[in-house]
Amino acid sequence: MSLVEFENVRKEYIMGEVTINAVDGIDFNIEEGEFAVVVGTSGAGKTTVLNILGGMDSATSGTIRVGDKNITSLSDKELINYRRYDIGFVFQFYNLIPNLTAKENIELATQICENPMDTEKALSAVGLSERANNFPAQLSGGEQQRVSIARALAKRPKLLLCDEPTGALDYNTGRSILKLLQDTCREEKMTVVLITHNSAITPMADRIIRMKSGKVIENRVNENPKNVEEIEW
Amino acid sequence: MSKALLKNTLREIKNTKARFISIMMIIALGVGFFVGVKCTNPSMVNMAENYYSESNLMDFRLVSSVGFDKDDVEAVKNLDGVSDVMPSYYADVSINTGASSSVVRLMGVPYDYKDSETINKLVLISGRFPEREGEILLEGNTTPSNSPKELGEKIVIEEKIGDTYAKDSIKRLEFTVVGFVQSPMYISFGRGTTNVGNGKIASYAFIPNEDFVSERYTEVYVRLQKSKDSLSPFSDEYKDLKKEFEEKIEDISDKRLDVFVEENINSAQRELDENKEKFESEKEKAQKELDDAKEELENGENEYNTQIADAQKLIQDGEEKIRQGEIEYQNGKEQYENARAEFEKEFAAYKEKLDSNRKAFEEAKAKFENEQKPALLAGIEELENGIYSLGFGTLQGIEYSIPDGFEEVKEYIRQKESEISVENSLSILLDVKDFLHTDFGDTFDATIDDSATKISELNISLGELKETLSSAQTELDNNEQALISAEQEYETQKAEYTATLEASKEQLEQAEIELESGKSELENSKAEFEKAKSEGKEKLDSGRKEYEEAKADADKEFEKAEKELNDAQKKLDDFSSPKWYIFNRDDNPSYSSFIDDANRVDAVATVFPLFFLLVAMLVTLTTMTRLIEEKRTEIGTFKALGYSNARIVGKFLTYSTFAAVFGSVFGCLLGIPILPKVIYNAYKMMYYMQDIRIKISWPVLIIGVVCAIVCCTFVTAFVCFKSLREKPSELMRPKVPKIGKRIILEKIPFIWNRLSFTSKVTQRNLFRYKSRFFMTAIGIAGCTALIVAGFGIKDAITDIVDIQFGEINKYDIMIVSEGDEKGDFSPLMSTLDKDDRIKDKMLYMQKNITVSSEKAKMTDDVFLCVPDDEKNMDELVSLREREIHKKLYVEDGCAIVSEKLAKILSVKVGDSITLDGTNDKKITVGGICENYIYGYIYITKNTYKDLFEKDVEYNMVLVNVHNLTQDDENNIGFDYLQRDDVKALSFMSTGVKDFQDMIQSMNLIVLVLIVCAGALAIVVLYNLTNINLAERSREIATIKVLGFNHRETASFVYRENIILTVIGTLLGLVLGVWLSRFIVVTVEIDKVMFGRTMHFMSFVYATIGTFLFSAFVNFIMYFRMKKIDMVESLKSVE
Repeated sequence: MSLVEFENVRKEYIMGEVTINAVDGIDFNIEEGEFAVVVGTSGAGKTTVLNILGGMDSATSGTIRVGDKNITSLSDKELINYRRYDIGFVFQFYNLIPNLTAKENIELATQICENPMDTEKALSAVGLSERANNFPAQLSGGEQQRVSIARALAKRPKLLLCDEPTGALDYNTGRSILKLLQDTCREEKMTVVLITHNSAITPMADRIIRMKSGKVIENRVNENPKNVEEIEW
Repeated sequence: MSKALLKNTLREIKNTKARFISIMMIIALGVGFFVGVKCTNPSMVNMAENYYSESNLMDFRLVSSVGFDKDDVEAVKNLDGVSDVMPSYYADVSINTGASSSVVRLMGVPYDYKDSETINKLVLISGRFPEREGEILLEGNTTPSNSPKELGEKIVIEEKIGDTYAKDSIKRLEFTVVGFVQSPMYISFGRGTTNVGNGKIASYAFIPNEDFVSERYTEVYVRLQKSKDSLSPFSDEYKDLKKEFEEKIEDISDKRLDVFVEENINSAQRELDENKEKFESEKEKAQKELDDAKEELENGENEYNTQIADAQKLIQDGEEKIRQGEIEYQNGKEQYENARAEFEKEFAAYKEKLDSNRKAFEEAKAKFENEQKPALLAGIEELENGIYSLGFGTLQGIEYSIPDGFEEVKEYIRQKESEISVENSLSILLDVKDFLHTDFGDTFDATIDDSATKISELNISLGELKETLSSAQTELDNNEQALISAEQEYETQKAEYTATLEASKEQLEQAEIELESGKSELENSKAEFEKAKSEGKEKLDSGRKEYEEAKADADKEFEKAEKELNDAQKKLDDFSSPKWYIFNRDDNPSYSSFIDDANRVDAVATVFPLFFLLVAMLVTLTTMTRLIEEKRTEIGTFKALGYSNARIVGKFLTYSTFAAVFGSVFGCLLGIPILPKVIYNAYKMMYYMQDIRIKISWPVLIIGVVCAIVCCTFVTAFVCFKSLREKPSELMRPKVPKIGKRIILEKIPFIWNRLSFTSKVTQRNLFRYKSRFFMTAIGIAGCTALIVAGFGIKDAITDIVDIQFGEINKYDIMIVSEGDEKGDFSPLMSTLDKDDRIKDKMLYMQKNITVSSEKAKMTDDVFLCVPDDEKNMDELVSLREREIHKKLYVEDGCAIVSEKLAKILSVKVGDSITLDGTNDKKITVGGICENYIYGYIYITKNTYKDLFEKDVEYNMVLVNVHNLTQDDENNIGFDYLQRDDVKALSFMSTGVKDFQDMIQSMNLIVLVLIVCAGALAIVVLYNLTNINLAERSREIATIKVLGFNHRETASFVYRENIILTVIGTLLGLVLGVWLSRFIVVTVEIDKVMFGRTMHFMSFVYATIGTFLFSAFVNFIMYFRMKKIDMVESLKSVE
């Protein structure tokens, strides 16, 4: 059984008299431990998919199953718990709390979990043990993103969702982040769903989901995923 | 401004409604409060102006010590600029109102009152104006509260008020109530003071002019033309006018008074002087008579005394003599007895001796007679015989021998022989011898010689014998003689002694008789003396009595006459330095205090709005800063598009100006109609005036609005220009977030490590956003301070009553009394002594006085108090220092001054003050006592005597009662008011009630303050939380994505608010103390000092209040926070 299953999921935004179908009845599934990349141009609906999958937004219709939970039927409170225990989120703009140090930002996540990873371990996993006591403003973009990833990982989520994690980073930093994510996926057997508009990074994925105008136009398993080092864009 | 920009602005407003509204609201609050309160003063002033003009209020009230006649009135009327004059009468009388009597000022009203245009227009509340004598109009607002009168009821005026008879000034004592009026002369509770009764006028009433006795008017009201032509009574021009006319009227008064003195006083004085002279001479005469009588009496007395003394001396001498005599007699008697005894004893011994002598003598005699004498006689006879015989024998022998012849010789011898005897034998022999010689020669010689020798020898023997016999005989005889003479002597002596004794005895007896008679004589004279003495005394006493009576009569007569004369003189003196007193509107305490109150409101209005304006600026600052930060990109874009800085700023300026303008308009719309009414209504409870007509003070309104707009705009421009200095490209990029900073607390790991993350974030945030920190703290502090001030004012006022009537003036009843007709309080005091209901009591003097220091002078509501027993006054009037409650005692030579009065006079302990009527004598302030209502000066009776050079005239007795109930009050009132020496009774409970009513009105102001505080707190907190949420929506969205639940999220945000609220509240409590101090001191009136202590509960209420407002805002914001979309977190940083 797949870890994530989308079944005819639809999301409509009503803007006055116009109804926009951001997500227009999509179906796909992601297996456990896969590194999945959702790729598409701006406005293809990939962020909406991520929001719905992350429990931050709800679908207008359709069913989404994550593990044994049908998240479309969860109550507000259950959704909070879902986010709390099942999902790790990596934001495009890192969204670190500026007033907390790197370590504290991670602890912010771990303090609400049932079985969190050790903070030090999470930090060393992203190679930032030495910057533990720095404030976000004192870190570079890549470092901030690493902290953000560490924060997500520290929760030991079932699903790691990444929203354009390299979008605000330069090429090399972006690569190192992608490498970190791929390594995490492989070493920790973590299921990662990554959203990007950049098709160039699809070869590294185990599964590629291509979207266009709110529809999934391709959902294939990459039999030979490449290491990040091997790809260029 | 281009259409696009305007549209943009309007859209901006629409999008940021909450922010726009909070700026608007804070400005509305500030401007509304400022303008509203500031309009109160002009509205009150305006209302007063209208009231004065409508009621045709007098500009001057003239009172003359001698009254006015028609010419006087005419003279004033003819002054240039005077429009009307209204002569009238007044008299203060006493009306019994059940429990006590109160002083009522009666004023005259003409019959044609309705038809004429009168000064001080009365407002008829019910009934009608008097149409005939004996009708009365009572004041409509408050007839003495405990006896509301009805129309048609009878009012009885007490015969006497003090020493004055009511009938001296009014013609009748009974009046019928025909109506109730309100006089514009009295617009507050104060009715003024008077010099009769208890000194306080309780109410006023009007009776027809015809009911007054005097022909001369007692007062004249003057109305000025200019003032009538709507010159504001509060303008400087009016003040000048007032001064000008005061001088003019004074000139007139001088002239008119000269006339008066000429016409009336001088002749009266002459007559009086004559009477005085007459009295003096008569008095002198009578006095002389009396003195003579007295002298005579005294002489008599002296004489009597001397005589008595002499007589007494004599008697004493006699007694002494008798006593001496008795002693002497006794001595004599004793002596006599002794002498007699001795005599008897001696004579007995004497006699015995004599007897034994006699016996011995008799024995010796017998022996001599019987034995010796016969022997001797026999011897003699023998011898004689021998001699004779010898002789004869010789002769015979011779004869014989002779020869005869010799017959002649013989005859001769024979003759011789016959002649011969024993004795002459010798001589005869010798003769014979011789003879014989012739004849015989010597023949016979030898015989004769021999015989002769023998005879001689015999003769010698005979002689010897004879001698022996005769010596024995003689001796015997001598002895006998001696014995006899001794016996004789004894007898003589005895007789002599006996005679002497007899004589002594006789003498003694004589003496005894004499003594007895002396004694009885003394007794007689004694009795006689006593009689004479008592008779004399009686006579003298009756004489003295007669004299005393005569003297008392005379004195009484003198006194009466003198009093009459003095009264007459006093009356005349009153008249002879006659004076016109000119009173203006300021002399009416109600009017001046009304304006003071209005000005006080103005003072409060200046502080609060400043506070609000400050907060408004802070709110605008943070809000606009936030708005502009949010619009960085937009500003950058506009800049990049080539819009000038001015136009870009214009947008935000328009935004804030809109907020300011709408806020101001909104504030004015709410503030102007509401606040003046609320405040005035609070004061209206103390003044009888019409409802307020709101007068908008345009300058104030413009100042308020302009200030708000300028501040708002200035703040906006300031924030804008800060942003505009950056280049467009920088503006397009997100603003570099403020670097997270470590705070001091982190250096203390012990505490820091124990804090949760939310706390850590909170701590860091607090220090990170300083402007927000300060603004919130100030806003909340302001809120707390306002509530504290509100309750503080309430405390201050509530304390007054509790402390003044519970802890300072502890007496329950004030009995107004000047003693009985002799000024003697002892009957009253002894009655009180016996009354079980009375606990403590003390004679007391309290009177209105004018006091001055070097810096100030105070006349109204200042009382001089002189306790009879200053050491034990604590149970009735307790003097103490306010802060430390140290007891103060009045001591000779210094005065204790009540606190507020001391402040007005600006005197401290050790400074000196001067009391009116003491010839500018200074007295040192010895202590400053806690006191809230009115001003008091306490001195001892000795000090009073020193200062005023007369004894204290007590005018009341302060009394404490055991458990005073309403019934007791009535009973005691009834019992004591019946007495002639009790003038009035005043119960403290009544005073307490009056003040409590007044204080009620202050509750409204407290409510206004609390509402304002609440509004301020809500606006500030709402705005801040709103901005906080907006600024941190990303953070909040992120932690929501991380899976924080609502509670955790809320605490993440609210902890900051809570800490700020706590800090703000603490600050506010401190500020509140200052603020309420300030308000209390500002709002205070001269005669009242508000409390200075704040109750602990006020702080508690303020804290709870602030927390509630804060909680309310947080509650509302909770829903906003819940609505924050997690999708926010995905958005790029602005």
